[in-house]
Amino acid sequence: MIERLTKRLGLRLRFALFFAALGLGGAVLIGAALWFGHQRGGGPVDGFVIGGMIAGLGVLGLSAWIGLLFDENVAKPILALASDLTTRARADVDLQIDESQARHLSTLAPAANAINAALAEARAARQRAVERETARIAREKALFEALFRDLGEGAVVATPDNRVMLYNRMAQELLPQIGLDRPLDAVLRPEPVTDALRRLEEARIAGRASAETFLAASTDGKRFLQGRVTPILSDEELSGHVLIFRDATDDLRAHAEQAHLFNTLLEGVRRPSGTIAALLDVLETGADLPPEARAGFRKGISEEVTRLFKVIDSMANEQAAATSRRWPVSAVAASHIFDAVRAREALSVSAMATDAMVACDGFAMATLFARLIERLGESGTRAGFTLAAETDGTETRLILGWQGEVATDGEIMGWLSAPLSPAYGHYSGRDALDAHQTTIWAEGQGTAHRIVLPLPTASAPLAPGDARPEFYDFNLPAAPSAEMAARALSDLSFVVFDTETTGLSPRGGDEIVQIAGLRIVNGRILRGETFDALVNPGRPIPPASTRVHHITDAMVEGAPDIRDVGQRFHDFCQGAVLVAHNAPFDLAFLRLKEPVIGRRFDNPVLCTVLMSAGLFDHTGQHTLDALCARFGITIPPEARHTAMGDTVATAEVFVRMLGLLRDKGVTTLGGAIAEEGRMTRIRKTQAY
Amino acid sequence: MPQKTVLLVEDEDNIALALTHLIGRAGYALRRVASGTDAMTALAEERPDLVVLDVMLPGKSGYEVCQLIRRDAGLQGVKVLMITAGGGEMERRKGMAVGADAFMTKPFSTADLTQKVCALLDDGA
Repeated sequence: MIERLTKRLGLRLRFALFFAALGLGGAVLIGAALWFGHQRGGGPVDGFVIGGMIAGLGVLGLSAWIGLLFDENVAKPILALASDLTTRARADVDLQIDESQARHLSTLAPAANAINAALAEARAARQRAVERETARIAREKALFEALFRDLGEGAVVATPDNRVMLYNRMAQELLPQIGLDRPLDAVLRPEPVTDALRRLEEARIAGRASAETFLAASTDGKRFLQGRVTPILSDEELSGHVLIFRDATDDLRAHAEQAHLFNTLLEGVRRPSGTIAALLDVLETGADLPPEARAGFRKGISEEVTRLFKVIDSMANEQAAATSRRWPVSAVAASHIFDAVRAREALSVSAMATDAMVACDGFAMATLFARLIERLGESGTRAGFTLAAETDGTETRLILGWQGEVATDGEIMGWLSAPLSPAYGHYSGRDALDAHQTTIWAEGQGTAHRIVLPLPTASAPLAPGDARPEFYDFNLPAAPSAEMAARALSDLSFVVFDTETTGLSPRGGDEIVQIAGLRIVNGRILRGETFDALVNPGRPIPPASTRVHHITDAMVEGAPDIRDVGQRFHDFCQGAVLVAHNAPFDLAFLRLKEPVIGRRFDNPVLCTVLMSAGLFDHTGQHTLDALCARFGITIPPEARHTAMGDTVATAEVFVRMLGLLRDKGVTTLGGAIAEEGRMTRIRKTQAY
Repeated sequence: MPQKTVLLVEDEDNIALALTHLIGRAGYALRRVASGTDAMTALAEERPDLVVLDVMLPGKSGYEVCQLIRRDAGLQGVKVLMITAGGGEMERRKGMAVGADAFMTKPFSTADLTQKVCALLDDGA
């Protein structure tokens, strides 16, 4: 009871009550003492009353005065000190406590300041430790990311139920449809991996930690991947598995090609050579043959020789093409090769700026050019070396220019006959050229000469400076066993998408000309996991529509049809909730094409127009521009009304709306869909 | 009109035999050498109208011989027909880059070769 009372009453009030009780108690005691004295001594009452009143009032006044002094010099400073200490305990305030406010409290304030200083020091030490650890973790994270990203083999970490938790750049190159939280079997044929996992599990139960190998085709059948799968165990529990793989497509194809080439060559040479041998034999032994029969035999030999030539030509071409496919080359920036040449000591050479990319072994080419410059310069009759690249469609020529004496083909080939580098053993410059299915030659006039090396033009790989794709997410939710509707919005994957069309009437014959989409996982927009494809609509695009989305007939002429793009987009959307601004419009186009695509778009759908109506004023503006303005999102004018530009804007709006829904208490997909269901007036306008 | 002359630079005897016969039958005077070095000596001795030049030769390669012909002011206007068993597109491009007028890949039909030789010599007439 007293405890409750003391908690309820403030310190100053308690002090005030204490002094009030002291004053009143003193006054009562004086009154009682005077009354007792009068009873014993007798005499006139007035003197006792007056004395009692003066003494009582005096005691009361004294108590009040001392109480006020106490309040000012003790209670208030204690409260101020308590407040200061509480502030410093709860917030990171580094200031000294003002000791003057508690000067009557003896050493209490300095003691509080000592505690404050110790607390500040402890905090600073903790902060330094946190910063140190954070920096270390950030360094390790950057190292891990760089290592993982640039690994030459594809690497995927999957959850125990085979959803992608992490992948690297090479995995993305080999399996372009891969995405975080997507099922692995959406990109890779599951049977071989499942079989490897089963063997892995058996080994684990038997107490053997092992890795299992697999050879699996990508889901689209375009690649064969060879690799191994290793379990991730934490506390004896399987928390996922790692797949490391490489592209075995070319190996398998090369093997098959080589066998086919050899068999075709054998058959192609055997037949005409057998015939020629037979015809020659008859001619040589048949001296009595009539002239017309001889002419017939000669004609036969001539025809068989022609056939033999054709077989040899055809086989030579096929062999050249197969060899060039087998040589492991990578896309290398010509400027990197030039930089590598210039980095060699004692080589004075200037390089023209170029953004050309070539498919080659960059080290071999750089070493080869360095060798040439070194040898050319040895005579002292050549100077002013320059490196440049000339791209002409599928071919890029690396050019080494100089002024001075010419170099003969014999000299050049002689220089390139020696081993190229200790790193390559006996591999010579000529071997490198042969392996690249190319050659090198000198040309020029007067004193200006150049050596030309043609190589295939390569397309630029994923640029590190691109919007950085998210390659991993270790916080994927547990297996998606629960019904989608009951699942938390924060646990779901979303595909935000937009279509551009020939017009506004899907049932009136209008068609899709472009689909763009991007994924949101764990509330993060994954800018590295996008879908963007033009579609050949099979009909002209009206100029009015072209003015809106800037897609012309010429742009879609060579594009795949909706069947192909629709199937790929369906793969991209697997397991995700679809989100679009005015979703019924885009979905009407897709669903009308389901018979052609051969797939059903039965994913749950959220519409940002309906979400906006539920979150904000029902009668207000819900255009994408209005929503972007509301959330302070800027869409570059050139991106507006492009499928990808609008998709990015819708995604930005959507992730902000998810936050607002959460604040409103809507946390599940079912809840969000129910919210949309209330917007009946708007839904009626969305019938397409 | 004086008879046109052809220098055949070929180290393979059998094909040289056939080419000598074919070119002779087409009405041209022919001299054969079997290496790049001998070709340069022969060119210094007598200026031919056409050089039929194999690429793979002992000593100087056909490419180098062709480059030397093109740099020699005294040999201006001499036609060069390169022949090779290499057969790749890059060899053909290199041959044309170093100054050949035509390029043929073995095996070729004798009719095609004769036609090409005649065309080059008639063109230069």
